[in-house]
Amino acid sequence: MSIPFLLRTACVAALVAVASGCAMQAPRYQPSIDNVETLKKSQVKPVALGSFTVQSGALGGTAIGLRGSSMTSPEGADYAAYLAEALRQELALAGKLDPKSTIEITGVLIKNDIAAGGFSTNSGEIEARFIVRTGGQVRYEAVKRAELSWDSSFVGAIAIPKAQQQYPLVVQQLLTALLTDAKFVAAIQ
Amino acid sequence: MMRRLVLICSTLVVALLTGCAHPITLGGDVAKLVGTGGAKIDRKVGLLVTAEQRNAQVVTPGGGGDKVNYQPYRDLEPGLYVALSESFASVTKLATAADPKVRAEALNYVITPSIATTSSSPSLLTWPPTQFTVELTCTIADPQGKPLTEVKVLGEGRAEFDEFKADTSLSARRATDDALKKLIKAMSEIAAKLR
Repeated sequence: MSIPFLLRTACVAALVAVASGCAMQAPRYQPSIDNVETLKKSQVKPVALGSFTVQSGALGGTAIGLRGSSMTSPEGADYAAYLAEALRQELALAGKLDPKSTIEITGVLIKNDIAAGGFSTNSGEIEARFIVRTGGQVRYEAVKRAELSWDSSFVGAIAIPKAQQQYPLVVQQLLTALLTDAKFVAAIQ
Repeated sequence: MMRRLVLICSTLVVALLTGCAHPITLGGDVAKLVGTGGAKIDRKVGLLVTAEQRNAQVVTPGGGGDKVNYQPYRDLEPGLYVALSESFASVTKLATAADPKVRAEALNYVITPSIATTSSSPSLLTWPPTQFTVELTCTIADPQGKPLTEVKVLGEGRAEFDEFKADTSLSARRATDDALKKLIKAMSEIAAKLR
């Protein structure tokens, strides 16, 4: 067997290994203890969670592309369900969740993306509109956004799992932005 | 042109064949722990994880000669917080042993975790570990820092290729879930001593 043939075969194998896409799920959400303690300390009333939906045409609403791989939500059918579950966990842990409450939080996912193509740094961003209603009256409506970047690698076997693991941290930051907004806190007091 | 192709291909082959540390997470399914505890111990506790511990990276073996890296304290902290919330009336996050919250919130105990892990895989072709263990030791001290007792549990997780191809951290996350479930049980067993 000639060396050029072996080299070509190795190259093709390497390229296939690097470029081949596969399906994966985002890690299940891990609540941020800081967010939970923020909720515990604020004198807010228990709230109910309403519907969380994906804005029509929103980037990354149902799947996020990571170098040819596709990452879907482990909760429900889309990432709006993931966001709702994240907020539900933090409210529940803080003792601030009551499905019968007249104060209801709903959300619309506007943008949800990870840029995993960089050889040394990758980043993720998420944007959502949150609405608080009391007895049907809107008391708060705002768009919150979070962005996170991290060291990455040229090698997909490092960059892809790293990006996958960073996703819950991006969501944590979005919820931090919401829970530390004084107007939001006032709306659920 | 040919030279450039050979260089790119060589780089790819080296990158694939060289043993490297792949990132995984130990963060388990925390939501499943909620409601699994029994009667709570009517005591307020602080969970002490320092910034140094949270940032600590650990590297252990994976498959195919590769390694995996992770941040065990960062990954387990939410699960520990939930597990302790299932065991005690109140849990507060502490940054240091001298955190003013110990006195301000009149905490009864300070709980300091220590985490030791192992991982392995017999596979020559895939890097995610098929076996993972998490040994969790929680030292329970009084507010002055005097150790009173210790709780130790061992969590084990296994995952095969068909399962971990979509979740390369699966055996580690299963080990974490197992350790935290056992921690809640172990705390209930020493409840009388802590009341």
